[in-house]
Amino acid sequence: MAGFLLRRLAFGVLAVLVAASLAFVLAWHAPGGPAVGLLGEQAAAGQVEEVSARLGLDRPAIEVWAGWMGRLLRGDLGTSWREQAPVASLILERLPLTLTLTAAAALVAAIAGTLVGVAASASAARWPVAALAAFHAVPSYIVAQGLVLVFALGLGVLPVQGVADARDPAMGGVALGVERLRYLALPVAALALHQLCFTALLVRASVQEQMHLPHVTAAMARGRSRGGARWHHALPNATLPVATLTAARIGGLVGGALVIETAFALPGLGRLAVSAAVARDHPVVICCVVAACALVWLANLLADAIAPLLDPRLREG
Amino acid sequence: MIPRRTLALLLALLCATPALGQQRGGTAVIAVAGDPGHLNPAISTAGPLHAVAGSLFNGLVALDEVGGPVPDLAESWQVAPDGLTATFRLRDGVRWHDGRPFTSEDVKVSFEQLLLRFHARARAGLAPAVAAIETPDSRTVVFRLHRPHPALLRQLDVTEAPILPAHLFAGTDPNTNPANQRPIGTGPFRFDSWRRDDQVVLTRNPDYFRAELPRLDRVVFRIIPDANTQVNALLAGEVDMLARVSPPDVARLRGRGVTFAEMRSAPGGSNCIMTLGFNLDRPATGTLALREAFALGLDRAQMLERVVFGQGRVAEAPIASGIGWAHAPGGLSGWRQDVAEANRRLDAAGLVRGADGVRVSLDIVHFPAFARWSEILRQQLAPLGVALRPRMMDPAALSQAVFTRRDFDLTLISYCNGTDPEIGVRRMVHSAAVGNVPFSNAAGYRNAEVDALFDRAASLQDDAARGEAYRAAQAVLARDLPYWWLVETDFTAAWRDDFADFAPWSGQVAERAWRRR
Repeated sequence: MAGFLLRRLAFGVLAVLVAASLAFVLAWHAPGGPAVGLLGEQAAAGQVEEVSARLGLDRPAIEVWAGWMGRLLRGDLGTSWREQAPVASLILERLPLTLTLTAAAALVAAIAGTLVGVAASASAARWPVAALAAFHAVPSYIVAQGLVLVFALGLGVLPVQGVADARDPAMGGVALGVERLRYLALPVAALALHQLCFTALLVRASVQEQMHLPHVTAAMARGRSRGGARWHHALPNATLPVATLTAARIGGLVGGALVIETAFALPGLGRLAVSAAVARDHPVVICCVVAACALVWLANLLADAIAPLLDPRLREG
Repeated sequence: MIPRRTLALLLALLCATPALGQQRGGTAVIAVAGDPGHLNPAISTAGPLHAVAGSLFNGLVALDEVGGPVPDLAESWQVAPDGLTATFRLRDGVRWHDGRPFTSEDVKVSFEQLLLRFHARARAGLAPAVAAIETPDSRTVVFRLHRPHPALLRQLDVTEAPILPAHLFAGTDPNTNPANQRPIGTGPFRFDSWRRDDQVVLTRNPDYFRAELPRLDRVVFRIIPDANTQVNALLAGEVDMLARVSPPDVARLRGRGVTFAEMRSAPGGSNCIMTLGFNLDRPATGTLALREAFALGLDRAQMLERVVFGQGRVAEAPIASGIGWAHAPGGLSGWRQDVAEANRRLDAAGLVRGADGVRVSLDIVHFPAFARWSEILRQQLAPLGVALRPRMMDPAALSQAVFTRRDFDLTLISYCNGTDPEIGVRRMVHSAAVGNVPFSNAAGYRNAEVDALFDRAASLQDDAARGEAYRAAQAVLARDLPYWWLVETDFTAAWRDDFADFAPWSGQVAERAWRRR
């Protein structure tokens, strides 16, 4: 196990460094350039040269890349060009919200997707599959707009955007917790829907397959109702791929969080990455990519660690 | 017995002037499209930064609704008859938010160490004109100029030339100064807190030099990047004011408890004309017949209706109608839409149609927000055999493609003329502005006659005489067509009916605002 974890760790570090290098190449060649991004588009040529020199961008790309990677390996994420603040602190400020959003969406998608999938498995008709596939295909941004129209503007029960009421800074304790949940409800729902549909489709197929296996038919022969057999005998075996795939698709959720954070004006990692990209704040952009890669890698590692706990057969292998 | 007209007038005044009890207090939430990054408005022209910082600082002058200079930190000024000296008398008793007194030294440091070096528009527009800034005493500032600069006063408001505290910035690197993150200004509101990518909170400055202002206790700038989310937040009452609303969103908000203000000016831009720029260095777009065909073939009234939903005017001249004394009414009327004539001129120029009916394919570089413009251009140019290939870029990338690399055939730019042709028109057409300043002479147009007319206008003090020179220049421009001026566009701001007296044309958007209930 230790060897396995070490190999995964080494692979993870390598993957993150490759991703950071790719991000560096893309940022370096992005049209516009950091100086224009930082000074505003009306910056004059002289100003652009001054700022480029101040940032050390007048040196060869390979030299700049080597410097950044060296610092990254030492754990130094650098300083934001735009905000003159340590990149690590900027990322740590935003990370909890993105983690909460993604984790909550993954949890909602896993639980609700499983319930919907089991319910859908009871019908042999094609329409539940068609409906789930159709919802699965709707982009998160459109889902977000639909949810806002119904629950925020139509029913007026949930807020449109943000993490808290801008007019009420004094809130604290339980009330603040409840308020934060209200503000997160729609973003989590919008982010979860795609994964929820995928999970439901997977569970439906899996449960239907299990329903024909001997242990389930035997349970029904012993007098279990069809519904009881579905929940107690077919479902437990059907959930193993759900757990693994939920973790494996965390990467997709992290990517989706970027869109959702913009649509709901949430100050998470995705927003930081977008605003840094617009300002050509390369240290921040590159470290956001590193953070996102690390998150995906951790999620996959977690999935690999959890799988043997769920499936005894994997422990033996 | 009070005459009925007088009574009506008194009633109107009573309704228009809110009672004091209603005027004070409350919070206004204003949406901004991006996080400011830092709050030093003297070293950047970025829009989100100025949207917030405008309420924290002041300029020497402020601009009224029609762009005229009115006192702000300077209570009065005098420009010498030769136009080479401008003397400002500063307001007495102004204090910075940390209690230190405001003096002429603050003005000198702001210009010499910050604005003329780092603020892109001040550096491009003011720096070449300013020879020296003198401070004979703590309340007097004298600008000595190399040459007369009639636009000077209109370039000194809080957006174009905010004044920052010398005691925090003198002799420092302004890019890394900690005060950029916790700003100290003289403005109507003080910095309170900032959650990145979420909101910046400002609170009322009780020592503001305009004693009766501001009326609001707090202003929260809520950072909402998505325009659709901004509109939804306004409808839901989570946001009270949007400084910029697109025409389709105006239609959506109408009749929903929202007040609109249509203006020709917004901070950092006024009297804007959506303009098609031809790259005169390219063979096709360098051909006058092709540019004439554009002028004859395009239906600008249709653009006005379909793209900006009637919010603006078809451009009548190269200088916007908002600068009345310099505008040439009917200056482009020689170009009436005539598609047949446009095709004839293209035939005569030897631009023959291929088998697919296309005479020439041109790329058009523009911001993503102008996609509707390029689409309608594509539709209208198809009958002429001109095919457009849109290339959408963000501002930084477009600036490099058009002004540095000159890698484009056509570009769509909303050129804001400013409140004086010296601010926003000279940069478009003067040969000295080719290639050295972004958003300047995109066409690469060089004409000695136009240069001389603009130089002459800049050397005069009298607007009537200056107007003559500008009108003569516009006649040449209408003949040479380095650009085709499409539509003068207005800015629309929107706020909930609970509020009144926002000033969306000014950097200090909430200085006078108040909450009705």
